[in-house]
Order: sequence, then structure tokens, then C-alpha cells
Amino acid sequence: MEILREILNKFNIVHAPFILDQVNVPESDIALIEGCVLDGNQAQVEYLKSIRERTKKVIALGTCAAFGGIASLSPGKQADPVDRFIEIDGFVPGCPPPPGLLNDSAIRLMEGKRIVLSDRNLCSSCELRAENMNEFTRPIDAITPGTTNPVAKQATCFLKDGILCMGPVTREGCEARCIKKGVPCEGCMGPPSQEYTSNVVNFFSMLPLSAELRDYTGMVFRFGRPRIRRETKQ
Amino acid sequence: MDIYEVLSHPIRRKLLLILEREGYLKHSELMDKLAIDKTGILNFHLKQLDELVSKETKTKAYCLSEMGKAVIRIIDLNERLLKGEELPAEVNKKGEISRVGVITCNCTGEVSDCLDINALDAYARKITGVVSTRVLDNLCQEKYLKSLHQWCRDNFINKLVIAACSPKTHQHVFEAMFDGVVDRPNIEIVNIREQCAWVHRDDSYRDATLKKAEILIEAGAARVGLQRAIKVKTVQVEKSCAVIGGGIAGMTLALSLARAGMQVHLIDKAPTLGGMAARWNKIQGMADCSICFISEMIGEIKKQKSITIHTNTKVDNISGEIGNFTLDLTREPRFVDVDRCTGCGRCTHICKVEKPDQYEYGLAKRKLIYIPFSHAYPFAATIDKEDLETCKACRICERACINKAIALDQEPEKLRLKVGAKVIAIGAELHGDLASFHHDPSNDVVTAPEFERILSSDGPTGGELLRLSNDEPPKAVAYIQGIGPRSASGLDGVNQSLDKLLARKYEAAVKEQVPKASFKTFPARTAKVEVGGGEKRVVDSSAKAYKADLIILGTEVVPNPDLKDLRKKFDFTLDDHGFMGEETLSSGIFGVGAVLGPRSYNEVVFGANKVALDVIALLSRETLVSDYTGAENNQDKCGLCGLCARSCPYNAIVLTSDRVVVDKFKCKSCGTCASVCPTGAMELNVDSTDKIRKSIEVMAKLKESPKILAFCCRSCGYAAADDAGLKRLLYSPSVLIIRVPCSGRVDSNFLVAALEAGFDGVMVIGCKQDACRYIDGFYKAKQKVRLLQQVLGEDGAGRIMIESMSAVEGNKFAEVVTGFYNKLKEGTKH
Repeated sequence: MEILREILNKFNIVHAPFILDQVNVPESDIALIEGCVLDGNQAQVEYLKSIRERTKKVIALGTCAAFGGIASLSPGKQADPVDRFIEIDGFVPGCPPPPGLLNDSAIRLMEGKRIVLSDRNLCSSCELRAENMNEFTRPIDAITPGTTNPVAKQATCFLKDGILCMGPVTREGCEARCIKKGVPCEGCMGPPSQEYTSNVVNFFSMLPLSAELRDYTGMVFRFGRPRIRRETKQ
Repeated sequence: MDIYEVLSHPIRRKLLLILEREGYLKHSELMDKLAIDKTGILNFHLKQLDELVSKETKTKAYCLSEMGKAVIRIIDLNERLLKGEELPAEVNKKGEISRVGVITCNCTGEVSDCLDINALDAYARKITGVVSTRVLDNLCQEKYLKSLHQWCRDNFINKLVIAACSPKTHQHVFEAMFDGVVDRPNIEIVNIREQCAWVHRDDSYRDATLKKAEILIEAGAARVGLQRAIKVKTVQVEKSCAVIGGGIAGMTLALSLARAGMQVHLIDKAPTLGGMAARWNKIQGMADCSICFISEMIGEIKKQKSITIHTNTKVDNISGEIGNFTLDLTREPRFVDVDRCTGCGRCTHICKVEKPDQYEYGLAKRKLIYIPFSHAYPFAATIDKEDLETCKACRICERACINKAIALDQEPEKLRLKVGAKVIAIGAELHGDLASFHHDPSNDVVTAPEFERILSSDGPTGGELLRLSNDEPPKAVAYIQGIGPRSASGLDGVNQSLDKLLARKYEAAVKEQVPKASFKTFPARTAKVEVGGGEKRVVDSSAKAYKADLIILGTEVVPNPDLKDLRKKFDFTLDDHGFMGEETLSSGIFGVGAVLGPRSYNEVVFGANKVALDVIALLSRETLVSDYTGAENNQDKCGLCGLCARSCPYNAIVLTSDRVVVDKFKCKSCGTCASVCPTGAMELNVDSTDKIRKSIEVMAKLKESPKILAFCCRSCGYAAADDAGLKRLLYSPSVLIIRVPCSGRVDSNFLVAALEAGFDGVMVIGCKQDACRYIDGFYKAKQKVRLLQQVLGEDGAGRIMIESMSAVEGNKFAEVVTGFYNKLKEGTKH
């Protein structure tokens, strides 16, 4: 809240389509864009381009704008992140973006600096990380801990416990908020580098996933989907 | 003068730029313009710039020399460099400047038969980053070598694209040709013969073939532009070798090396040479008794002037690298001046205090001051450090010694050696869970080493086979084989061949001295020793009891406990059993004897001679060039998830609590780790991710439809593609190939990126599954591809394929590629 007051002291909000209907995009210093572009919607792409033209800094806010987000799950539809259409100056991932990161990013933006994200994966700040992480053998057969109490504290690495955790392929920066609540990482912070789906495929190819989890589509497209459809020629 | 080195400093770049703009400037003016406040700093940089700047003698003003002007003119491409812009710290400054030269080899018309080589050259000249190009008829003939070197120097070329035949054919030739001019990782070979000209020899392909060759060269130039400098170090080879361990292995090796004229330092922490074998009765397979043989060997060693012996000496620290190590040693005091001691034995005779003799495994007693055994070398008395206080209180030996050799005030002595190679020969230990087999020498249940002492002529029984309990020869002897340490040792099978050898040796020894005695061997796994009622029984797996009056406990050979400690100082690897791993050999650290695992005498000698050859080969070179190509971990990005360690087929990656360590000597640079690293922390320093991704990006510019990108593994897939060329098979020029070290290197992101970039199909071509060059890289690639196919469904499954073939299956390659091409063509029509 503090930071919001500061932001409002320093900046004027000149364009907010969710508050005001406004056809033309005015000139501005910073644009925060939320949400994805669905199926390459031409109107939305034009809108993005006009924002880019009139804005000094464009920031993609949230997982949808950064990677495509949850809409990627819908079959037959293509949810694209903002940077597939326009150049962006940074992004703040997370669904929702973690407060700490949001705060830091806001301060950096006000100071005219670039947004800084960690290059590492969640394991590096996970308190459950085991010494011999690479030596898990138990088949991974669950996506949540089978306990009735969701806040029961997990004592060992989820993966070692046979529970799928996306921590190794997810960017650090969320302060492991789910894991601290006893829930494995779902990967909303997106990949530390590269593209979302292939990053998860690399990871899954190395796990002893059991047969119950064999329908992976829900996991590999949870927050992003590569744009690989071919334009068919007549 | 290395121009890149000179220009690596921003001040020097700025200085050149200012002089170019202003013409003449005095020293003080230069200081102002450059904002330098100390004259020494400016003088230093002016000196570094050397020939590039000259000084007017009259006006004392500085200006650019002719060469300086030339440099400015030639390097104008690197505008931002000259502006004094700071370069990112992680990028090696030398590698940042990238001036690419392109050589196109026509292969005596083989290439120009299929495409317009002049058009190709014209295209290459326009590629960003390329500063100059050459077209040659026959690069491999080496007749233009001098002019090519001059060309590189004139144009300040530090990176080279050679568009010619397959790297399988002439990579080593080309790399050797430019040794000292262009670094090896900075030479990129683009295959325009086997995988381009030869497979598209059809008039209808002519234009497309040219386009493909252009794209291949452009991708090559982009790749090589991203190559970072690999640290190369030239080391003057120190012509000597340290051998740590003066047992049978160390001595054999030291002798071989000395006879070849090498300087050897033979180091042992014991007060004498000889090691374990000196206490054995006989060496299996030799008629000679062990101590006679060892004393002969010690005699030989004494004769060799080039062997320096350091007994009582420990290794403290090691630094340096292969070819030039520094060893810090401590010589522990033996409290007797070796130079004065004649070995007369008066001191041991007069000494009043006794303790168990470790050289007799406690079967006999000795005095506090002692000579280890009768053929010890140096043959001089010694006192154990632990007994020093007792001896200082008595000093009777000091008075008895007529040579005044006793020196109870001796201090440890520090030594420093320079050596080119190190050999570890500290042997192994015999260790087993003796308590559960009722080990008790006084009740005739003895270990194998103790039994060796009983048989030895200088042992407690004077070499007669007698029971220690009553000095009578045994009637029934049981030998229990392979008693391991109490904890699960994981040594299964390691000791087997040695166990058999020992059983034969002991049976022969018993039969020789007491022909009537029976001898029976039991495996420790199922045998049990029962003691009670004045007799001893061995119960075997079928619960049959064998009455024995002498039981020999054969313990297992386990790694020397000092090995772990040495490993902290020496950089070598351990195998699964904890013995020294053989991969270490490239590091200038070698192992001989039982340090590598259980060895018989013959195996030790063979091994020592082989290592001697390796050491001689290493030390006979004047200089060594060390560079490492393989996986590297960037700690700033690493999140310690351990996926790399999980994927490595060679266990070369070790995950500790705070870092990931790549074992340089185990890494074979297959890149499987880099392909699964989610953060990009794990990276190959030659076949890096950014280079491959850049290739995909550039190659996607090819305007053909359908177009296919194939990732081919270096040893099989790529060779099969070459084979198709050698056989002059035909396939479409819209197939582009990227060479990867192993199919395991292929990240699913490469496949997705290729599809996203506009390729209609991607292929991974690797080795036959059971014949993968990197153990299971192909299997891992297959896992990724299958998964990707499954999740992409109809959007992508049919556009990704994985295939395995051997290096001679060019026909299969052409067939598979053409089949895939046709299938995709069908797909694009709808």
C-alpha cells in the first residue's frame, strides 16, 4: 500500500482501460500490461503496437503477459505473451506476482532502472532442498501431498517424496510461498530461461513419472504454449 | 604485439580515438582529456600502445603512427570498442572482439560444379562480422599457408569460418594449419561438400543449393562470433616426476623412469622403502622370496643417481598444473642422523623398553629404537614419534652410540620440489571384520599378513610353519576367503581374481612344509568360525563342520585410507569402490599398483611400465598447452537442483551443499547436462546453447518449403550424412544440419525454437541405441522427443522425428530425410 501511495505521488495514471474507456493511447513513461493475446487477435496486437509506440518503457505484468499464462491450457486456442508481438523492457512474472518482487520492481522502475529477476531456479531458495537432490528414485505419482491438512509441513523435498514439484524448472523470486504452505511448486514464475513448454519437457524426460501422471498436457501447457502452428497453404 | 591484448583496456582505446580526432596532443593535454591524474598511468598505457603511437621530438606531442592509423582504419567496425565502452565483465575481452574471416574451398571444382562459388563468396563478404573472404581451390594442400597467415594478420582476423569438406575429413588439418594464428575453438568448419554440393547435384537444385550454402556460412559466422575465448596456458615442463609410495609399485616405476633418464623423487611416509610386499613371504608366481627380491630392487634404486629418496616424508600441499607442479613436503624426524648411523645395532641392543613390532603385525616385540627390518633402506635406526618422551627421559642409546647418530632434538624439515608429473603408489589396505571370525593369533586364528610373517624366514617362527599357540606344525589348515569390512563395502567381485591366486599360494606353502596337513578354502560369505572346547571349527554353507587347528583369515583389499586425504590435495577421481579412478590420466597425476584396486604382482609391473611410458611421453615434451573444452558451471545462475548431475552419463558432476563441481577429467563434453539445465548455468564452452540457438535463428532464414532442420550427433548422425555425400545420394537442399556432440545435447527447446522459427520439421539423428558414443545420450534424447511429440499432439507430433543410424548408413540417411520431406510436403499442401 505504501508503495502504491508513492507511485501515485510520482506518476499520473493516464490510461487505464479497466477503469476508463479510452480509445486512443496517450503518451506515457511506463506501461504495465496484463493478460495475454488470444489467437493473435488483430485488434489486441494493434493496441499493443500503439502502446509500444507511445511509451518509453513497456513492462509485462503477471504470468499471462509474460508467458501466455493459464489460458494456454485451452485446447485449440493460442495464448501468446506480449513479447511475441512487441519488444518489452522487462517483465514481472507470477500468478499473482509476489508482493516482494512487485515492490522491488516498482521501486526500480521509479528510479528509472531495469527490473531485475533472479537467474536461478526455485531450488536455490527452497528450504526443503536436499543435499543429494539428484538421487531420488521413488516414482513420482502424485501432484499434491496426500494429506488432509494442506498446511501440514512438508519435511523432505517433494520430488524425493514422489510428489511432482516444478521448483527445479521455475524461476526463483516468489520466496517459495507455496512450498512454505506445504504445497509443491506449480511453476507460475515461469522458466528461469528459455521457453515454458520445452523447459518442462526437459524436466519430465528425466523424472521417474508413474503411469497415473501420464497425461502431461495439463502440466506442460499450464502457463505457456509454444507458437508452432503452421500456416497451411492452399 | 597482440593487438587485442593492447586494445583490451578502455583507456588505451580512448587514447587512440582522441589522438585520431585531435591529431597532436602533449602529455599534459592527454592527461586532461583522459581524466588521468597520475603520470605513471599514462606512461604505462603509452608504453603498451608501443608502435601505435609516436612522439614528435621537437614539440614533444604525441600522435598516431602509421600503424596506429591503420589499426583505427581497420578496426572501425568496432566503433563501440574504440569509444571506450565498457564490455560485460563475464565476456573475455579477447573474445569480445570478433573479426571473422571466411575461406571458401572449391575442392578443385567439386563445389563449383553444383553452385556459383563466386556468388557464394560475394554473399559471405556481406555477412555481419565478416571482415574479409578468400576463395581457394584446395585448402588442404597447404600451399597457400604463408599467404593465409599473412591475410589473417593483415585483417586482424581472430575467428575463421572455413567452408569446405566435412569436419570429419579435415578439421584437424585445418586447425593445425592455423596454429598460433587463430585459436582452435575459433575455427568453425562449414560443410559445403559432403552435406551440400555432393547431395544436391541436380540442375533443378542449383539455386537452392547456393542459398543453402550461403545460409550455412552465415550460420557458421554467427556461431563463431559467439565463441568465447578458452583459456589456453603454455606450461614449461619440469623434467622430473614425484612417486608417492615406496612399495613394489612405486619402486618398479621409479626404476623404469630412472633408466629412461628421468629425475625421480621417491617419497614414502614410512622410515624405509619396501612397502607391504617387503613383509610377505613370497610373491605369487616367483620362486624368489619376497624380501630378497625387494632388497635387490632397493639395491638397484640406490645405484640410480637420478632417484632421490625421501623417507619419513609426507605431502603437505600441491600446487601448479600438469607439467609443472610444486610439492610441499615435510620430512618427519626419525631422531637418528641417517648420515652418521652405520646400522650397527648397539642402540637397539641396549634399549630397555619393548613394544609390539608393527612390521611383524604385532606377532613379535621390538625395542623403542629399532631398524624396521633386515633389508630396510635407509638402513638406519629410528624412533617412532609417539615414543619420543619416553626416550628423552632415558637417553641410554645416545650414550651407547659411538657415532653420535642419535638426535632426539631433530625437528620436522620442510621441503619443496618442482615436478612435471606425480604418481601415486601408496597401495591399498587389507581390511575385514575380523572379530566375528574370532581373530586371535595366540589361538591360531591369524590374518593373511600374519600368516605371511609365520612363513617368512625372518618372521617370528624363523620361517617354519608352526602354530603360535604350541610351536607345532598344523594338521588341518582352513583358509577363509574375502572377509570384507563390517559395513557393506560394495567391493563385490573386485577381489575375486586375487582371492583365487592367494588360495593357491597358501595351499602350496602349507603342502611344501607340512605335506600331510590338509588344506581347505571357504568363502567368507557362507563360512562361520566356531571356537570352543579347545578346538576350532569352520562351518560351511551346508552346515558341515571342518575341524582346523590353523585358520587363516583372508581379508579384502580396500582403498588406502590416506587416499581420501590425498585427494583433497591432488586433483584425481575415485571409482565406485573408492580406489583411484583411471580417468585421472590426462591430468598429470597417475596411479600405479593397488591404489587402483587389487592387483597381483604381474599386474602391478605391467601397470607400472605402462604408466612409465605415459610419464616419459609427458616429460619428454618441452612445453604443454593446456586448454579445457567441456562442461562448465556458472555459479551465479546455478540453483543447485541437481538435474545436471542426474543426467551425466559419466558421474562427472558432483553436487555439494553449496555448489556444483564438474570433474574436468571425467567430462567427455557430450552436453547432456547443458540440455537439461533449466537456468542455463551448465554450459559447454564450445558447443554452447547460445551458438546452437543462433544457428537455428540464422538457418530459419532459408526460404524453402517445407524446410527441415536436423540435429546430428557428431559420431553417427553427422557421419551418416557425410556418408550420403560420399555416395553421391540426392536429397532436397531444404534440409539443414546442425552438428551436436551427442544427441543427448539436444534440448527440447532447440526443437521447439526451430518449429517456432518456421521450420516445418525437425529431426534428431543419433547413434544406434545400444551403441551411443556417450552411453545413453540417444536414449535421453528419445525420452525428450517422445514426450514432446505426445504433448504437442497434432500440432507438432508429425513434425518432430528421432532416428538412429550408424556412420556408414548414408543410404538410410537419404531415405529417412527424403521420406520426412515428402511427408511434410503433403502436410503443407492441405
